[in-house]
Amino acid sequence: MTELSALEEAIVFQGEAELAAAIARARAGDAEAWGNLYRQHAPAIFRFCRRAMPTHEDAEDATVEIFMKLREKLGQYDPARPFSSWLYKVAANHCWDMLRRRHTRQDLETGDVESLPLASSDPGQLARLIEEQSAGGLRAALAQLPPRARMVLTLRYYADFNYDEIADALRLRRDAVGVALLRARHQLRHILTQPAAPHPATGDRS
Amino acid sequence: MTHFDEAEYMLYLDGQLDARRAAELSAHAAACGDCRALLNALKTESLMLGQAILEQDEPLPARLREAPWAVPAPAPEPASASWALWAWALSFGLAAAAVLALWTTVQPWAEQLDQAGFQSSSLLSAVFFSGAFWEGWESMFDAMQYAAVISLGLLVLALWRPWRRQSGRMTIAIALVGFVLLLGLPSGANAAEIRRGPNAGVTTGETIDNDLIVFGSAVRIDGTVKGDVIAFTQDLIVHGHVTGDVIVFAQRARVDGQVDGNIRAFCASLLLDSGAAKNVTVFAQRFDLDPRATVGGGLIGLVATATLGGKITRDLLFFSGNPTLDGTVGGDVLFRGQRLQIGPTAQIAGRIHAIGQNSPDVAQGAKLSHPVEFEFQQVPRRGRFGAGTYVFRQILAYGGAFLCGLLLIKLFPGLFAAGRKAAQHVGLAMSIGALVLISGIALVIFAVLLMIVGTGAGVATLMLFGPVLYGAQVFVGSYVGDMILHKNQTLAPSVGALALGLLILRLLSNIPFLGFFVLAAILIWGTGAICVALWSRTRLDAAPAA
Repeated sequence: MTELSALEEAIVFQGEAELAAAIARARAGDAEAWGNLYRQHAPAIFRFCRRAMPTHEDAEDATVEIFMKLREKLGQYDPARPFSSWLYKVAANHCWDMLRRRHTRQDLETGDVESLPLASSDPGQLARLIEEQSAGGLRAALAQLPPRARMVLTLRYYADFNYDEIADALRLRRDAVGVALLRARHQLRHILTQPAAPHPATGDRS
Repeated sequence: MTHFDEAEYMLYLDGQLDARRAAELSAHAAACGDCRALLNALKTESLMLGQAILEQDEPLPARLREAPWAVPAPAPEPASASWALWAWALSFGLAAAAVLALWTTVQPWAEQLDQAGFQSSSLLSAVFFSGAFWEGWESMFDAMQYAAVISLGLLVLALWRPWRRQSGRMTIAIALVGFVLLLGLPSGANAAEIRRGPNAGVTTGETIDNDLIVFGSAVRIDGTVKGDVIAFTQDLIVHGHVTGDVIVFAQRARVDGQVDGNIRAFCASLLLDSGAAKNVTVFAQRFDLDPRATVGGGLIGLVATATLGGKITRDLLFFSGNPTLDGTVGGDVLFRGQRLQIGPTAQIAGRIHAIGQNSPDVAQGAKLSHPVEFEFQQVPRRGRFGAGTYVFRQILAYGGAFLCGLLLIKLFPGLFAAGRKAAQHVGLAMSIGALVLISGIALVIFAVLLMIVGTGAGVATLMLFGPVLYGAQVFVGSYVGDMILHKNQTLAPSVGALALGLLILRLLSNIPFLGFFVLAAILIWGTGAICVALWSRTRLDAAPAA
């Protein structure tokens, strides 16, 4: 059971004081400290990107770019706040920017919000469907979601963002977050009920 | 009993309901079996989703194992990106320099054009016509380059800081619209009447209260048009009355009716029997201004052979081979060409300035108020620029390409990465580039033609050519820079590599003789890369929807 992400494990393992010291060293230009920070956090950030971005390649590129941004922004980090949430914030903003640049608003939000029923006939269905999925199956399904739905699920359930943080990262009104989440869950349910098939169109090479 | 909906249960589970509502809901769920089941199902669902999404299903790819940069940047205290600052300064400086250069170059010409009776109220027509008539096409390219650099600089400025959060496309749109407005393009044409047909035209007695656009193999305007006439035809005869301008693309055109506006003609041959109340602009193989004709304003011509018999009220600016001037000119004459022949009946009130290979022939009896000023000029025009101008032009070209690269990285990092990748496949990029360019040349020629009329569409098409030119340099430049800096396989945009690569390209393209081929290769290669990148991006975008 993976209750904790690798990032959280790393933090637990390292201890807060040590992390703060490592960040301070990396900021001062210590190559080793920076390398350690990278090695500890890159896997979690990569998995985040893997869920947020549609293809494997995009996720790789985004990971590299996020760490490049982090390196520049390390000076802005406020040590009073948890490092992981700051890290995910930078990652979320970057991924969302990338997705937005690539798509028009219509692509980000396929279909009409109002037209989709916000209640499902069988609420337990998604849980069962998820249980049936193999490892990577859910990720493949996520890849088929429109960017906003994919992003909102990743932020809520992978990065553990609260509603305010999601609203901030996706530039949504706060009361639109719940609707976006519910819709995303419906869309995911819809995709998972489709007969399982390989998805060559997504460029997925997992 | 009112049930709560799924959305509200989810908000409840996520702790998003206020205390009162949450208490209501909780009380209801305790009493209602269905709602309890729904609540539990949602709870399980969230839990499952959370677990499934956290699953460590994939190891870190090999290329991400190590931090791509051994040493972090020594944390600049003002947290602005390390290179953003000098990119800023550079773009601002370049934009300012280009504005200054454009202003100092255009201003004197604009004054001269005003005196010549040619309205230079809009910057665009000033830029264009000053370029075309006073310094030749080369200068026009310069002017375009200035304009491109100004707009690029403004774009970079606009995009870098203040409106960071705003959608990129929106900002581009605003900046472009602003730029077009700045140029003071003629206000949009009203809906015009359009006529087609082999013998389309306006018959005697007929009146059109609108602009007329007419297509046909032989067009006759015998009636009245209260507006402009734009004609695309083999033969055009304007016999009637046109209250606006006449703009004509024709094999042969003849105007013996009344034109109250300007005449702008692009013809193999143009014969003006009656003239125009305002100015005449003519690009033609052969041009005849009949002795009876009167031009109310000035005349500007780029003509192979010409006889100018009639009366020109204001200035005459003429680019021609061996024209004969027999008529009256109320203003100055500026001539550039082989030899100007001034006939015995000619009367010229203003000064005569001729530039060319031969001094003008002045016949006995010609009435000139000033002596002819002649300036000898050799045909080759290369190398007339001083060293300073040369360096400035090189810097301008380099800066333009660099700005374009920054813009690409900032706005379309994905496209930039794709373009760099595409540029690595030299053969593919080269062949596609060659293909696209050959078909594109026709488009550009068309655009240049449209531009002469001052149509917005022509400007827009021509502006497309600029980005392609710069984009090609950007992709090839960043490829070359990468090769030299060994910036391994990371796709992260590297501004340093871009700067270095572009510098090398600029140096290579200045090698005498070989430079031309280098430029051609860059253009072909880079255009191919752009096409491949665009193609792969659109394919990628379309895919997730499938």
